[in-house]
Order: sequence, then structure tokens, then C-alpha cells
Amino acid sequence: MRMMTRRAFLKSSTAAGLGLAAGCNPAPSPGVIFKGWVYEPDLVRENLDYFERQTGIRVDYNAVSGNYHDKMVALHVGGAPMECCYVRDDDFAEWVEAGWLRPCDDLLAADPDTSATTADLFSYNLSSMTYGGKRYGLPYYTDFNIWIYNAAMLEAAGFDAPARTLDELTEQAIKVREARIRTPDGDVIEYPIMLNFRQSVLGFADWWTLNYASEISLFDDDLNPTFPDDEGRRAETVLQWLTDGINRHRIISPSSLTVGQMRDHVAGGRQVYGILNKYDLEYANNRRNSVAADEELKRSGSDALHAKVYRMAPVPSISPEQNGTLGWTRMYSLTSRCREDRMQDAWALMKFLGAKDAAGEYYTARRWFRLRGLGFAYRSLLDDPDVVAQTEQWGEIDKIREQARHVRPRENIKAPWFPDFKIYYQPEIQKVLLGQQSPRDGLARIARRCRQLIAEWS
Amino acid sequence: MTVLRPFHLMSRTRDLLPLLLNLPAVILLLAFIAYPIGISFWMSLHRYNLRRPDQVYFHGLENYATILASSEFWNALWISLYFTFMAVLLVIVIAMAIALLLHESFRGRGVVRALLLIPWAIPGVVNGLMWVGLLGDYGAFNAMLEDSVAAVNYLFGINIVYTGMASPFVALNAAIGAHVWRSVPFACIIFLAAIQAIPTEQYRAARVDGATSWNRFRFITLPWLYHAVLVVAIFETMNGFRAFDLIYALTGGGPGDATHVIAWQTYKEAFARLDFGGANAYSYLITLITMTLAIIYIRLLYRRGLVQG
Repeated sequence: MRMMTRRAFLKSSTAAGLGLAAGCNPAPSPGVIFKGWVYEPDLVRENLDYFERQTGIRVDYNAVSGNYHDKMVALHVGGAPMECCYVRDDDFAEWVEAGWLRPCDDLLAADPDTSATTADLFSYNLSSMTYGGKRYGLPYYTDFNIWIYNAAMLEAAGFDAPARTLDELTEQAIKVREARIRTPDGDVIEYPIMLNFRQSVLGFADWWTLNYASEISLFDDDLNPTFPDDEGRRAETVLQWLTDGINRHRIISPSSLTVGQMRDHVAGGRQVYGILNKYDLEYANNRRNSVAADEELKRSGSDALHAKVYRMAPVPSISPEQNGTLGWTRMYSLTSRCREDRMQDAWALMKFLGAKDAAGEYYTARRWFRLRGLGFAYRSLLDDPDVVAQTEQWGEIDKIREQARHVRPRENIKAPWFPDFKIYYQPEIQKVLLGQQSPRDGLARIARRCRQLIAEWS
Repeated sequence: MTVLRPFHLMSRTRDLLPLLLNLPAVILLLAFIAYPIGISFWMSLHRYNLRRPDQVYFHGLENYATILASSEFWNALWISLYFTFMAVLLVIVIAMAIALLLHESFRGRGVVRALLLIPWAIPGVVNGLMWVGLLGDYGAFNAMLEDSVAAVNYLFGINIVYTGMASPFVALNAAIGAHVWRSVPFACIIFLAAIQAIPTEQYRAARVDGATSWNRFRFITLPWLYHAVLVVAIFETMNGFRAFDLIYALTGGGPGDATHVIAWQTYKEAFARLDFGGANAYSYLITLITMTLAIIYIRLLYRRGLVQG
């Protein structure tokens, strides 16, 4: 064996150290640096490959695994090079306030074609991408929450239509529970309703949805909380209905506080009613994912991919004439560290992903819808024949069009104190649902904290 | 004018040489340990919220005062104290029992000792996700618990509603159980090493004197293990107070604030509120509490003469 001399060892160690140091300071990327959370990264790469072929612009794409918000905070604080990235409306105000995003009004103004797409946006999407009067993004995908029900299960319990109001729903769900409906696996459904009240970075979308269904405004124009003494104490009524549903009537599963992925529950045919992201209806009615859809298609001898096992309906509200739901936006934004010499390339990428491609098509939005059913921010696509035909395979386009008219973003989402609010209200609502405090006390505590936050941040 | 003679030069070089040889290590320690500790303490004395990067200013101990005045901190502290107390107690008892068992000779002892290490090798988040599988709606443990409650209801004609991990009591104690499961192997190795160091003559003499197995454990084994118990207690106290990854994956802090341990509260300050001043203050408070507990352990055992310096 050849022995290494001390001198040779020192030399090679020094060389290795210098090599490592050089590696820590790599040459700047020649392409557009683009980061997003991990959702179908292979499909994203396919879209980017198409963009690269169309434009000749190289994109260095990186799917950030794990907790996207936390990792992106670290990247932003550390000054990681990045031209553009995905942004959730939940984090939008926070990232603008921190100075991590760059407005794109100047680029829009110089680009009439893309600017014209603004008029085609749903108003809640446009509002979600605007802060302090400045536009910060183009839409990635967007959607709203829908109320879903299993038509066959309802029929088995003797109902031909879902309940319209919360009181009707209580009566109906009690009867459904008593009918001892079974899942495709043969288990009796103990709780007909499952909702999503697990604490998470995205908050309780179902709480907002139920409030908006009853046309409740939780905050006034100055973002002061209106609850618990809002008109007719409706916010309290909704929360009381939830609490009674879990603890008194036992129609809402207590697992609502712990279960994360609602669509898998639905796809397993384990619930009669629930709230889903609209695009997850495609997942729940697709036999590739859904035992419930597969069973139905086998029974009917169909070789189709979708069965309309779960259908959508207006979200139950306090009064039958009320209608509303929660919508959200995921967007592409330029970062404040976008290099000047990459700005136009980055903007071309943003346009391709969030608006139209070089051929003038909403290429990416249509492709996401076609492949994964993801919602889009452009109204005209709701009348697109391909979109209509595909939607009809797993949903009902007329109901979607109707529901789309009643979508609202969270009222305080752009308040600088929204992140503080988000981590405070979730445990408080859970304590109400667990019966540890009354709905009124819980709402009063949340309202009190909101007022403290407003004072702190004003 | 003083003239340095060669002897003095050599002597001074001899004195400096150890320092020079240690210098690279000292520089690394200062850069990677002392500097972060110092800078984080400095940040804890500032209002430093990333959402308002233009409003960073020194405000002394205000972060500490705000935390100590908040109900969230005291709630998290009590939950952490309960979590840590239960975890330390269970880890010591279970690990000691397993170590005593593994000290005995039996077939397959080597395999069992190797298997014992598996939980220790599992990362905290993976451990949490595994327990989510076991305790979730379709998990085996969840089904066992649900069936047990149903059996109790049937036998006693009562109606206890089983809510699984939606119950604050179940969630917190399940988190403790998962933490203990992962921590036992390390403690077990320490106890096993300590048991193997006990002179066998003492056991032989005790047997000659007619001591029962309980008395042999109480008067020979246990006193020899006090040092190991101290090490495990301090280590597990630190671990208990820093438990975060498991909570993150298993309960997400819920239900309600039932599993809002103090490390979770620190995480929320840092990454949900982006309040790095407050989060650093939380970290220092955790350090202070852990150090205080460690000092208490050591003093208690020293006072009783159970551990020599």
C-alpha cells in the first residue's frame, strides 16, 4: 500500500478545502431561477420544457420539499438567488411586507396582451394578488370550497336531495346516521359529516366557508372583527351548529379535528357530506383514486374513468336564500431579488405559466385543469367547450358557474397581522369544538386578540 | 532594554505552542457555537419581526417581559413540564427494566439488543408520521383503543364516547408515548453499560447473606445506577423540553392547545409570526429552564451523596 506523506496530505487537504469554498459560491445560474412547492414536479417540468422550446429561455426549477412557507422564509432571509416563485395568498401580505416580492405593474403596463387578461380574472383572484394598490402576481391555480354529498347514500337513507339549511342538515344527517349506511368496505358510517378542522398552516378553510355560506362578514372594512355581536349573532350560530354537530347530535366526526387529507376520506366513500376543494371533486370521483367511484362503475359495468358518486350543492347556510363560499389563490410572483438582466425572461415565464403562452393560449391553466382538474382564475375558461365537456365527466358545470358567483377571499388575509391571527384562532376554535369553551367565549377571545393585533400593527 | 535570550524564546514558544495548536479548534468553536449563541441573545433583546424588516430596534428585555406575561407561555410551560416529567419517569423505568432484562443471559440476546436500537435510529418526524399511522382513524392502536372503550361500555353499561386523537388527553399522552418509545433505547444502553460495571462479588456476597432479589436490586444495583440515572434524567429533560418534530408531525399542536409544548410555541413565534426577537427569547427561556432543572438534579443527588464529583 502506498503511504501518503504528511506534506502530500496537507496539500490535498488544502485543495479539498479550497474546492469546497469554491463550491459554496457557485457561478450565477444562466437561466431563470424558479421555485415552487412540491405538487406534481414532473408535470411542472414538462410545462417548463414546453416553455423552453417555445422561447429558448432556460429555467432552473426547484421544487421546495417540506413546509414551503418555512423553507421559503429561510431562503428569502438568506438572500437565495431567485427570480420568481409560487406564493399562497395566505403568505402574500407577509412576504410583501417583508420586501421579498416585486410588484409587476410596470411589466404589465408595458405588455398590453397580458394586461388585457386582467379583465378576465375573477375579482377575488385579482384582489388576492394586489396589495397596497400594486399588483404582485399572475395566477397559478385557484379554487373555492364546495359542499359535497354522496347521492346514493342519501337515497339509501330516503332522501332525494341534500339539505339546504344547517337545521335541515342536522335532521337529515341524524336520519342518515340512523339508517346505518355502509362504506364500500362494509363499515357502518358512524358520523355522516366530516370536516377539516385540523390545525395547519392554511387555517380552517371550512370555518370560513360555513360563515360565508350564511353571508356573514367576519370583519368590517377597517378589518375590525364584527363577531361575536355581528348581525343576528350568525357567526356564533354557525359555531354552535358545529359544536352541537360534534358533541350533541354526533353527526360530525370528532376526527374532523385531526384528519388532514379530506379528499382521501371522501374517495374512500367514508362520508356522506363534507366540504372539499372544488378540484378535489375530480379526484373523489375518479376511479383511479376513489374506491367509491370504482365500486359504482363496476356495478354499472362502465369502463369510464369517472363516476359522479359525489355531487356538489350550495354550502348549507342559516337561511335558504343565503349562498357563499371561500375562495383562494395561488400565484406566481417575481421576487425582489430578481436579477435585472433576467427580468424580461422571468416575466416571459410568469406570463406563460400564469397567463397566455406565445400562441395566445391559457396553455398552463388549461393543462392543469385537463390533467388534474385544478381550478383557474380566468372566467372565459368556464365557457371553453373542452373545459365544459371535461367538467361534466365528474361535476356539474352549471353549479360550478353559479357557485363561482358567490366566492369570497378571507377578509383579513391581507392584514399584516393575519399570520398572528391564523395561529391564534385555530386552537381557540378547536377548544370550542371540544366543548372547552362556549362559542361566544371563543369568538370573544378571538375578537379581543384581533383588536390587540390591530393596535400592535397599526 | 531587555535582551531576550534563546532560552526565554524557547520557553515562550513552548508556552505558546499548545495555544497555537488549539487555535483552529477554538476559532471553529467561536464561529459555529459562541457566535450563534451570542447573536441569538442579542436578537432576543430586539424587536425583530421579518414582516417589518425596517423596524428593527433594541428594546431590552421587553420580549422576555411580553412572553412571561402571556398566557400562551405559561400554558406551554405547564404542558412541557407534564410532558417532560412523564417522559423522564417512563424512560427511566422502562429503560432500566429492559436493561436489567438484557443483562441476563438468554438465547437471542444479541439480536434483541440490536433490535432495541431501531427506535433510536428513527428520525423524530418519521417517528411522528409512524404514530400518526398507528393512532390515526385507520390505525391499529386506534382500533384497539376504540374496541377497548366499546368493551368497557358494554361491560359496565356506560356510554363513553371515544374520540381518539381528537381528545386532548389522548393526544398529549400519545405524544408522550411516542417520545418515550424513541428515547428508551439510548437510556437502555447507558443503564446496560452501568449494570455491566457493577462488581459481581457484591451480588455473590448479598446472596450469601440471604438478600432477596428486590433487596439486591435496591441496595446494590440501584445505587450503582444513580450516576447513569442522572445522565439519563438530564438528557431526557433536555429532550423533553425540546420535543418539537414529533409534535409537528403527530398532532400539529392540537387539539386545542393540548400539545402546545414550549418548543412548538417557539416554532410558531419564529416561523408563523416571523418574530425572531420573540422566538430567540423563547429559546433562551427554554435553555434557562433546562439548565435550572439540570442543576436541581445534580444538587439533589450530590446532597444525598449519591454522586461523587
